[in-house]
Amino acid sequence: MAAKELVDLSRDRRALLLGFLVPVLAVPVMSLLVEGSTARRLQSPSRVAVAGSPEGRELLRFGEDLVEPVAVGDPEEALRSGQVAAVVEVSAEAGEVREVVVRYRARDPDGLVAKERVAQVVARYALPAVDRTLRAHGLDREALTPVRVREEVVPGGTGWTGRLAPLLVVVWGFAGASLVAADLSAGERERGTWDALRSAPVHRLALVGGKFVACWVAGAVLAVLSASSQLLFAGPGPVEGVQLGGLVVAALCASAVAGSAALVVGSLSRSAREANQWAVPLYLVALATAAGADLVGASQAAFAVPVLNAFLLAQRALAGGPPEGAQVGSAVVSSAGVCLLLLVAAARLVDRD
Amino acid sequence: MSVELVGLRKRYGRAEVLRGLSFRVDAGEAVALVGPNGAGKTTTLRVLATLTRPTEGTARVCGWDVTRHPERVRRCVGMVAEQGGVYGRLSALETLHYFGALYGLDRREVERRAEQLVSWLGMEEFCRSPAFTYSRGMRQRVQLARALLHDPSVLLLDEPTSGLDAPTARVVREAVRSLARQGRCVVLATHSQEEAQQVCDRLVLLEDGVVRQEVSLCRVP
Repeated sequence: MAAKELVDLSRDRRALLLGFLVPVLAVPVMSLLVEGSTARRLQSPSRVAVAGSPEGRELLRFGEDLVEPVAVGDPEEALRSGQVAAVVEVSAEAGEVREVVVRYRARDPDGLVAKERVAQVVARYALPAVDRTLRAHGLDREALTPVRVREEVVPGGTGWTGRLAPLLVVVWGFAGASLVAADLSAGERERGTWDALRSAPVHRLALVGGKFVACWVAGAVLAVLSASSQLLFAGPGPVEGVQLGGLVVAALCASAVAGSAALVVGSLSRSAREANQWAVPLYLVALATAAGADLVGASQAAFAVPVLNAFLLAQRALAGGPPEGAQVGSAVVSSAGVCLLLLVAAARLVDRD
Repeated sequence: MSVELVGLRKRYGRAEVLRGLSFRVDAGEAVALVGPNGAGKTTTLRVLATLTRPTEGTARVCGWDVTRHPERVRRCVGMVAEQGGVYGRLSALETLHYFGALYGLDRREVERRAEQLVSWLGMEEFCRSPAFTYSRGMRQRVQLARALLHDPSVLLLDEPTSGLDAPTARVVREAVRSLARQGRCVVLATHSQEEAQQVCDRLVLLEDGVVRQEVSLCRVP
């Protein structure tokens, strides 16, 4: 049965095209575009509006490479509408800047960058005055900075898009397995082949198991391809052998749980469309579980939580080192256990009226 | 006997579809279940094919109780459903090989049976093409071939000629008639009394889930 389902799947050109083009090409391309756009915004000066004392414009001249003063009629309205990333309000006494208030939107990344840049500009502006004061007291800047920080940049890192790869393993492992499961269970009922299959003398667990293998393989292949493609095109480069091994185990864990859960949902649905609708909460639970990985941390217990363990295994594999044997064992056993329970439930639902 | 129903009842929620249905069909006999929509024809066939469990009463196929020994019943039954479909991306031959494996037949046996059925049902021209290219009549022949692949003693047919053109319907009717002559037990659900008279030895008239009348067709004027 598994062989037939895989042959059937391999002949579905539309599913192959959509199923592989989107995760393997479209997602990395979108990631590259987003990362490129973010980098460009970080490299260009932040747009800020100046309010208050006219010394504000003088202040901003110290950071023409960091901020771009924008002339606006109403600075507050310009900030609200996103025309500027921040508003700088300057108070001055005797021609000297005394206080700078930076106003920015709390959830605006551009605003956060603008705030940091204004702080740098203020530091540049204040530096001559600080030096004068220190000299008046017989001190210099060196005396106040006993510890030096030197930056050295080495090649490597996965970038923001590379950090998405573990999430992609869960997302595409779930999407691939559950879409195929919906088609092989509720889809068969919709197409009228389900009864012919049920009237054959096949043990129900074998019937569900055959379909599960097809869902499992499809989900795992999709997950590994999408994560590898993401790393290759938008991340640090080709995946190494150890990383690939970790990704495969993670993808198998994610798609096993997804495929078996989706077969249960598919057995309760009248059409593939209905099954896919019911699968949406499954996606959300899976995404929330994976997204919560940073909150719970990579403890041994976390590797026993299905879906979360797939994310953690992929994360560990991509961090450079292979996961520990106990972590892999825990992930495999817990995912297999949940999968088996779900398959038994799906098998019991085969003969449901 | 091949099929025996005694006091069969089937409820879906509050709706009682079968209300104490009883009849029997012997080997070599073709019996038509005739009645209006909702009479219980399809449900009766589904119970016999182990696709749905009876609420009360007993149904035996080839001596096996459908509730207690569903797998044994499945081995001796071939079913063609009215709304049955075929796997669009598989050819007729691939479908037959798939079901042959599900029925536990060895590859050579499947090839031999498939060759016979393809020839008998006139499927030579299209049996290697993917089924999404098939007409309704071709699909119905594939379903019939699939139902006969494991050489079942009991054949259950639900509106097998529904939607077919006259020549294809004639092929299917002749095939059914021939199967009964070969000693198989055929139970056919149909709306058409004309079809029932052409194909079957006996009519079982169903109404509201009970047998209203059984008519031997040699007595129909």
